[in-house]
Amino acid sequence: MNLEKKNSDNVCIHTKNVMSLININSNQLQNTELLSHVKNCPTCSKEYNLRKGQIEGLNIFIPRPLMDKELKETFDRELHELLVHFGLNDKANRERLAVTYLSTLNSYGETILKVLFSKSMLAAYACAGVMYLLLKQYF
Amino acid sequence: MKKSDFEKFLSLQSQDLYSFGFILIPDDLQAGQLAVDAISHFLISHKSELETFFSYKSREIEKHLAKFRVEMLKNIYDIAKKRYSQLKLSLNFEDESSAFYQLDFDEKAVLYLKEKAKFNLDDISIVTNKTNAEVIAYLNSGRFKLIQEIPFVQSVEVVNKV
Repeated sequence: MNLEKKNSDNVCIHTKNVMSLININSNQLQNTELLSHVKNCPTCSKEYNLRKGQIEGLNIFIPRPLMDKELKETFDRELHELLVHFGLNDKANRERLAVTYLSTLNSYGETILKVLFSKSMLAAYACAGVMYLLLKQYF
Repeated sequence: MKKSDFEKFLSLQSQDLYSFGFILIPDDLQAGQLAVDAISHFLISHKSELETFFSYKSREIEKHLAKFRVEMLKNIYDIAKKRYSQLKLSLNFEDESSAFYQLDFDEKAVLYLKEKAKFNLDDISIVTNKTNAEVIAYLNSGRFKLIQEIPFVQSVEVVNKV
């Protein structure tokens, strides 16, 4: 595509494409023919600078509101709770596992104690004690 | 990547999410809630992906984090779009008198994503669920309306050449 100026009356048919160039991010700009043309064409170059200036001037009026400190702290707390809920917090996961293991051990311990001090075991202890005394007396 | 680092990443994104939310619904509490809801929606929809995400290599992680950022902003846009129509009549939005907040919902979204978030047209299309042509149309109509409201901008010219 040969992008030459159409005529010499400060009019160029490619001026209308200047906005397309501006809308492309700078990291996507390669050495396109349009870019080379705009660099070399005074009309397009002037139009480019004018449009670019307008857009950069408009940027001042596009706000970027930020959270205040209190709102940020509230947000961070909620975020933390959210991640704990979804199991995406290592410390909370470890605590949860530890609680699970300890409660399992606790239930085992309770079961053992219940069995050791049940009525039947107490009766068994009493019988064992009587047998011990009898055996000790006769042997 | 550690899970604690992921929490830091989300915390850092919070300012961008809040800013974008405030642009769309200019209310502190609504914008904060939008940010939380967007992250919740993201965590729910990517639950299985996140389980394997933490074992990726650093290059893959960077790519995924960039993708996550776009998706969270998309969530903000989708949720805000539904809430805006419900809230518009009941809430008195601050700063509604400024030229930017007078623009249409989509014009504000596209302008913010292009000029402040520095997104390319493809990512803006993903966030707003529009074609590239529609994005460009909203970009130009938004800029045109702003220029009409702020006349002195019309004659500003960049000093440096292309």
